[in-house]
Amino acid sequence: MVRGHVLKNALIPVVTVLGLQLGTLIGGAVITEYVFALPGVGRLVVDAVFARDYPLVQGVVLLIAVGFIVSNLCVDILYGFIDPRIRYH
Amino acid sequence: MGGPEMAPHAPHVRRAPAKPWRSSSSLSARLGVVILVAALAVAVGAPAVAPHDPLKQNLGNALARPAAAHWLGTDNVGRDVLSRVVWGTRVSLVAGFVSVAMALVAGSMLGLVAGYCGGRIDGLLMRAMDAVLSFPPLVLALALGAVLGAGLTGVLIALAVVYTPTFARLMRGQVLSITARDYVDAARALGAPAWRIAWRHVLPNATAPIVVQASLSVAFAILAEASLSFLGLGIQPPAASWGSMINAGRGYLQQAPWIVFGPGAALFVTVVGLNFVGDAVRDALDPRVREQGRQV
Repeated sequence: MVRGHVLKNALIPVVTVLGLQLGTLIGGAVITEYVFALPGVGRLVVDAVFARDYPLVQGVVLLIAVGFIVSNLCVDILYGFIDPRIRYH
Repeated sequence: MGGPEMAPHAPHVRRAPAKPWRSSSSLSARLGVVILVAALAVAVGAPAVAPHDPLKQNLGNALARPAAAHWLGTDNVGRDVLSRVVWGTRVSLVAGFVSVAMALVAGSMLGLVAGYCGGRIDGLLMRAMDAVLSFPPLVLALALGAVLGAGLTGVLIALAVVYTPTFARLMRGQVLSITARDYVDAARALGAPAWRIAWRHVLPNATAPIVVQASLSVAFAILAEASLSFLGLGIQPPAASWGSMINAGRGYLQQAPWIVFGPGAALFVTVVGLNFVGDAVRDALDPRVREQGRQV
């Protein structure tokens, strides 16, 4: 009962925040990768900023933005599975 | 099971307390105000409060433990950590308040124009705001910082750009609901020009959620400034900023943790205080505004 009725209805705001938090997470990853010297996109964008490598900055920021948008699209699609009453027109 | 079925997006309306200052959060609100006033006093009176010159090096006394002469110890070139924290308060508060003020003015104006004019202008402005919102905030601030150059001005502009869409969307939503009210129709029927209706009737009635959002944004702006300074994009050495002090002290975490402790504690206390104040303002002005906008 809890899983079928309560969890499904309670999941909508959780999934919303999940999608939005991803942006914060990537921002936080920039700092984490810088501190622990991890070779990720966050570290790449910081290094590119200091190397004044503008095309690289543009590319990485665009990549991150596309990932962010796709994750939010997935969240919107997930709504339909969690709550069949939600329909997009 | 049973009970009435709830719509998943039913607006969550909490009744405003009759006397907001007497609500259960009044203790944290008072604490927040005390912290904020103390931080402002320290920032304004930095030359008088700081016990030492924040830039004066003393290599013979580098990495000194906290003691009577240096309450928070000294850093790797013998500068007094407490004095640097005190001067860093200025940078943090300026970054927090000025960037949010810039975003508030720009976002409110854009939202007002978009909401009031409607049509193609609305579509154009709001799609531009959506484009800015599609970037993770800190990554966008980093990219803008790269273009604008390192320094406090660059950080202020970058943060203002990052926070503008939140205010624009909030203001547009308010304007759309207010322009549908009868008193706006009445003003229009009396022949008031559009700018007068927007400025005198719509704007004053739309301010409450904006003020709430602004008070909550300041804390996040301070954190964002510290993050950018930590990465080296903020105020440049030898001037002190909490974020850059934490970055500089990172290499000495084993031998001299107090270099990081001072600015870290100051950052923590200030942000907690601002969040308390922001929550209190929200409870007092607009209990319906909850979790609006995004947070860095």
